[in-house]
Order: sequence, then C-alpha cells, then structure tokens
Amino acid sequence: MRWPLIAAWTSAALAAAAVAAALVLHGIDPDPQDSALAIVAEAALAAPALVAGVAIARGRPRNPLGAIVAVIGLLPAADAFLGAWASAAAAGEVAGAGWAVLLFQEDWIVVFGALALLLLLFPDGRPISRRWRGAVVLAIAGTLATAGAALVRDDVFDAPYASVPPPLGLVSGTAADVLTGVALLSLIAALGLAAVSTILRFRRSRGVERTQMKWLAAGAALLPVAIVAGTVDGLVNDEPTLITLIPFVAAYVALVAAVVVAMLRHGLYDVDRVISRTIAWGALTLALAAGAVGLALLVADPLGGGSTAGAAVAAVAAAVAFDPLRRRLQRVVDRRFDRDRVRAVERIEAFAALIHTGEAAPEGIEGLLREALGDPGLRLLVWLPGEGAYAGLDGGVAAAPSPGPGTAVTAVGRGDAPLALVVHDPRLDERPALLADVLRAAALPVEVARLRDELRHRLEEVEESRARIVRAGDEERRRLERDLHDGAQQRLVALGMALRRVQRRVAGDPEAARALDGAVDEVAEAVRDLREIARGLRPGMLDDGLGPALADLARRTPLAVDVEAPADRAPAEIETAAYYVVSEALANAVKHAEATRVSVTARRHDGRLVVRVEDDGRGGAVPEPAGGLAGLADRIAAHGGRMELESRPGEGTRLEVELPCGS
Amino acid sequence: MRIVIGEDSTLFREGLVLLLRDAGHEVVAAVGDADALEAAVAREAPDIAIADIRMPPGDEDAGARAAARIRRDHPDVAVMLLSQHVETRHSLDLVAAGGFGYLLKDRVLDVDDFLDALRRVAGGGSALDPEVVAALVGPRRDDPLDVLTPREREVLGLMAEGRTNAGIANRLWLTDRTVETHVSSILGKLGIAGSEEDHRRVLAVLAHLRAST
Repeated sequence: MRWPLIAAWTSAALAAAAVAAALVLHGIDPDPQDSALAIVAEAALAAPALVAGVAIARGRPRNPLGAIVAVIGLLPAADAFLGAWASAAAAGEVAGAGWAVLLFQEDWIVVFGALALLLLLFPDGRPISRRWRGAVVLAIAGTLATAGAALVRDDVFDAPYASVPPPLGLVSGTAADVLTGVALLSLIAALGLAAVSTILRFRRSRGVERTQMKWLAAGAALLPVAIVAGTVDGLVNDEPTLITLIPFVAAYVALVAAVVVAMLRHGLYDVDRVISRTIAWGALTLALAAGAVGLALLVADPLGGGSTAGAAVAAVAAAVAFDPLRRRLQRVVDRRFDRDRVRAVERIEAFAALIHTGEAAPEGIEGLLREALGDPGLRLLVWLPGEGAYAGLDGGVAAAPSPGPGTAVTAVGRGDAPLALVVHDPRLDERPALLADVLRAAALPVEVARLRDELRHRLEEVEESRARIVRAGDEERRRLERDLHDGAQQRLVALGMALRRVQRRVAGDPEAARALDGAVDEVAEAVRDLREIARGLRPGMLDDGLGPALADLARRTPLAVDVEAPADRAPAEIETAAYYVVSEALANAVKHAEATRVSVTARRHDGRLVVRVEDDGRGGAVPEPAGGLAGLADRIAAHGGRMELESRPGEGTRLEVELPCGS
Repeated sequence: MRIVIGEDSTLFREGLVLLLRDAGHEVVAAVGDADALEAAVAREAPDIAIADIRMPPGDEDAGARAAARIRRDHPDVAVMLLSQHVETRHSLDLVAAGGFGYLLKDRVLDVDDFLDALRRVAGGGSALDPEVVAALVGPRRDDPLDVLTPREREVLGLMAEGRTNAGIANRLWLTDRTVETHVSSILGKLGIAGSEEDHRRVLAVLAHLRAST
C-alpha cells in the first residue's frame, strides 16, 4: 500500500477510535461540557471527509490529497475526543488536564495547514512547479510553528478551563507574542501562496486539469455564502446559530464532494453547468434572504411586531417578488460563468444568420466548429445518401469514422439517420452540454453544407459520366472508322483488282472490257464513298494533328477559309473536340450564314486550346436546343471547356471555344 | 522488277501479287507484318518494296516506320507506301528524298497508272497521291500559290505527284512543249531553281509548299 492510502485509512481508524473514546469519556464525566449529541454531530461532520479521503486514496494511491482530505476529516473527531477529555480531566476523572485543554483549544490550526496543502497540491498531488515546493514546505512549517508556539506559551486557558495550568508554559509575555506572530504570519503567507497557486494553476490548466479546477471552484462557490451568513449571524446573535452552521457545513460538504468528483469522476457531470447553477443558487438565496429581512421589517412592524404571520407573509412576498428575477439571474450567471458555451452557441447562431442572408458559405461551419469548440483537429463528415458514405466538406469520401484512442465521434441530427458526424478530441466529451448545445445550433448550417456537398458530388458524377459518354462515342467512331478501312474498303479494292485480272483475260472482247471498266469505276467510287463516310465518323487526318486536319477540312469547304493552328499537339480528345467545333461552324457558315470568308484560328494559351471561328455572313445565329451547336456545347462541357457565340444580325458570327489541354 | 510486298490484309495482298505477276513482275516475297517485311528486304534486295502504312506489330504506323528504315538502311531499294486514307505525317519527308512513293490503296485499280508510278519510284523518282497533293496545294491564308493561273496550279499538282513532263502532257491533253512553258513559268513565279531530274523538281516544289504552310 502506498503511504497516502495508509494515512487515509489510519485517519479513519483514529477518527473512529477518537469518537468511541469521546463517548466513553462523556460517560464517566459527571459534568460534561458538551452533550453526547454534539459528539455524534462532530462524528457526522468527520464522516464525509474521511470517506472522501479514503476514496481518493484508493483511486489515486500515489496522490497525497487523499491523505490530506482524510486528515481534514479526522479533525472534528479528534476535536470531539479532545473536548470530552478536557472536560473529564478538568473534573478530575482522568489525568492530563493541561495537555487536553491545550490541544482542544489549538487543534483548529491543523485545518488551515491542511487547507493550504490541499490548494497547493490539487489536483495532481504536485505543486505547480519546482519553485512552489517552497510553499508546500512553508505550509507545513507554518502549521508546525504555529502549533509549537501555542504549545509553549504560558497563557491562561479560556473559560471554563481558566483554572487549569498550561502543561509547559515555557514562554510568556512579549517573547510569546512575537513567536506566535511570526508563526502565524508564515501560516497566513502559506495560505496566500496557496490561493495564488490555485489561480495560476487554473489559468495554465487545459483539458482534464481545467475541468478538475472548475470542480474545485464549484465546491468553493458556497464559501462566500457561508462567510456572509456567518457574519450576519455574528452581528445579530451573541452565539453562533444554525444560520452560521448550516451554510458552513454545506460549503464544507460541497467542497469535499467537489474534490472527490474532481479527482475521480470529473467527466461524469458538466462542471460548467454545476458551477453556474451553484452560483446562481447562492446569489439567489442571499438576495431572497435580504429581501425577506427587508420586507419583514416593513410588513411585520405595522402588523404588531415580530408576529409569525408577518414573517410568513414577508417570506412569501419576497419569494413571489424575486421569482421573476430567477431566470434573468440564471442567464446572467450562465453568461458569466459558462462563457465559452454561451459564446460558442451565439457565434454559431450568428453564422447561421449570415447563411440565411447569403453572406456566408455554409462550408465555413467546420472551421467555426473548430474555433467554437477549441479543437483544431475537429472534422465534420456529412452523410451523402447518393454515395452511401460520409464525406468531408472538402470533397473526399471518407470511411465511417470510429471512436478510438485520441478521437471521439458525435452525431449531428436525428438518431438513426444522422446528418453528419463530428470527429473530435475525446476531451470534449467531458463537456457534454457545450458539445450538445453547439451541435444543436450548428444543425442547420451543417444540413445546408451537406446538401450543397451532395449536390456537388452528384454534379461531379454527372460530369464524369458525360465525359465518359463522349469518350465512349469517340472511341466507337474510331473503331467504326477502322472497321470500314480494314474491312469493307479492303474487300472492295480486292474485288476491283480481281475484276482487273478478269479484264486482262478478256482482252479480245472490247465490249466485256468496257463493261468491266465500268464495274471497276463503280468499285472505286464505292471505296471513295466509304472513305468519305469514315472521314465523317472520325477524320483520319486528326492522326497527323489538328493543323493538317483543319487544313484538310478547310479545303473541303466551298468557301475561302483561312486556317491558323498550333504546331504542337494537344490531347487527342481535345483535338477531336476542336475539330468538330470547326467542322460544325464551317457547315453553318456554308448552310445558313451566306458567308464569303471564314477565318479559323486555334491557339494554345495558358494551358488551354482557344479555337475561334469568325465569318462575314449575316449573323443572327441562335443555338437550337437539339441543333448542332447545342450538341457541340455538350461535348465542350464534357471536356470542362467553355463556348461563346456572338452573332448579331448583320455583323457576322463569331464562335469561340476554350478547351483545357492539361499542360 | 523484283518486288517485296508487306501487307496484312490477305485479300489485298494476294490480289496485288496476282496483279503484279500478270504485269510481268517478280514478287519475291509477300508478308503480313513490318518485321517480316524488313527481313525480306534485307534477304532479297528487291528493286522496290510495297508497304501498307498500318501493319502489325502495333497496328498503328509500323509499316511507315519500317519504310523509313528501309530507305535509310537500303538506299537501293525503293519504297511504295500504301494507305486507306490520307496520312501526311510520314510521307512528305520520304517523298522529297526520292525513290519513294505514297498512294491510296484504291489507286491500284487504275492499273496502268499504278504500274507507271511503281516504275517511276523504282527508278529513283517519286509518286505522291493526288489527295495528298490537294491537301498541300489547297487554299490557305496568304496563299503563295495565288500568283499562279488555274492551269499552272493543275500542272504544279501533277508535278508534286511526281509525274514527268510527258506524263503531265498526257494527262492534260497538252503538248510537251506547252507543259515545259508552264513548268518554267511556275518555277519562275515561285522562285524555285529548276532541275532536269524529275524527283529533284518534286523535292523543290514540296519544300516550297511545306515551307509556306
């Protein structure tokens, strides 16, 4: 067993023994100073810290905080025992009256030492830096010095033990006061350093440690209430009453509970919400109390001084008057103490409003979530039903993410059909309210971004399939062209040659020879026809490059056509597309435009092939939905290009096409 | 003439073999791919090799590349390249060097013209298909041939096909003398140095046309 666990268990055992001994001493004491109930009450007060100390020490056996908390729990039990001993010893029933009274009166010192150590070492059991070890030493030394100074003084004890002589009484007068003063100052300095250390640790903390620090703050939030209540009680009553006791006990229990939660179960509840609720509750309680007191003075007086009915009316009136304030107060406190959640939700809502007015692109939601949740590695994956997969907003389809070490996954939207998944730092799971509220606020922007992403994916698919169809069409034309050349055309030529050989055999028959001449001419004509058909399918000249193909095309056009084409080659499918553009434009110039001259220029520019066909015809060309130009536009779009037609009546027609060349 | 044929279409190859034998030529080898063609040329040292542009291996332009190698490695062997449709990228350089011809396959049906072209090429001259010539002589921006009369254009086209003055006269129903007048007028207008050798004349004309393309 580690020493903190041993110390915690030892404290628990000692506390049990102390309570038992106190009850025994109370039994033999003829005139006990405290009632048995008071002893039981002190034992009850000891229990939470003892249980907490042991629990912490079991959960974190190397961390001294378990032992420190357990010692805090030991004190009430020890105090009960020392009180009972002092009383019994003063009555002469047992020995050691001097020591008993001395220890009974000075045992409070240990509480402050333990508190200073708790603050200095919370939550990891180490001071915030090596230099702060000095503060730990000071806390221990200050406690020991203060206790030591108290032990050696020769002061007369408080009532009812004024007659009991101090057991040592070594130092007196000014020397005693200086000794006590120096010792106390060091203890107070240690407490001050502990407070500073806590603030520094809070500022520097991140992730789990920050959550733990917030739990400590939540536990400590009731202390101001207790202090105010105690002060008021001190002003009103001579002896401390329940007004002091209940808030202090509540604050003490809350602090101990908060330390346990922070140490062992910090991820269980949303600490920010706990803090803001606690503070709102505390502030409301104080306000209600103040209101009730004020009203009681106003209402009760005319009703005849201090009547129960007057007090009751005042309390109800105060509650009614202050109830509407509760929501406001809660919101204000939320804003103050749960700032990042409120601010994060507000930012997301402002962003959603910008999307609504078209001032922001919904894809920005991922970056905004990263900032709002403080997780730069956060990724938003939207569900694309068409793909049956998740995809990032940057376009890449992603495998369904699974939580693992270093990543957690939270769904956005409805249960079984989530809109999107957020892959984030698992530490965000410790703030479920922040995550839930932010994601709820982000649902609309995420949905819009998702729809746009889906649309984009669908469009890409359609574009790809269109390009594939065009490619397949080109491929098919090429295949047909080959088949014509290698099949039918070859057979026809072979047939013609066979006829020529027959012709030689019938050289003596002029009529047969003439008939065969005619047949061979027919065959030759058929071969030429086939060649034209094949050229229509796909011009073989394209194998030689766009320039020769365009020149050949120009030669076959019954118009004056000027051709300018680049000498370097573009990808075959781009050259083919450019060729068809010029072919269609020339056909239109011949058929519709009554043009006399056409200029064709193809230029490479910035990785694009720019083809321009201009004629001097009558203009006014309009692309028809099913016409050749519309078909061209589809083909060009399939290659990611762009087409522009300018054809004002009387001013000729200009067709310009840009095709990406990839280089 | 001793002839080697490289042609992957069996039908066309056999037809060609018969046609050439009927015409009294000796076909010493008829093969179906470019590698076999080159081997046959090296083995037989024929007067002329007839090759299809598209042939295995590769089916793209193996025939054309084999033809270029044959011209380089066996300068004495003339080459006649055949194709189904006009392809200019392989033929022009070779035609300009002489001992080389390039025709569409269906020119074979005009048997006498085809045999004449073979003879011309085997004799170190040239033959260029009218389709190819038309592509070269066709209208263009800043056409350098605008200075020629239509008749001179016609004569120039036939010159580019590799024909002799007599052949041109025969074609156009002109006298040899008239053709000579046209030729010297054309060469003068285009600023081309004249030559007695027909294929040098073709070379000059082609060089001129290509330079101005």
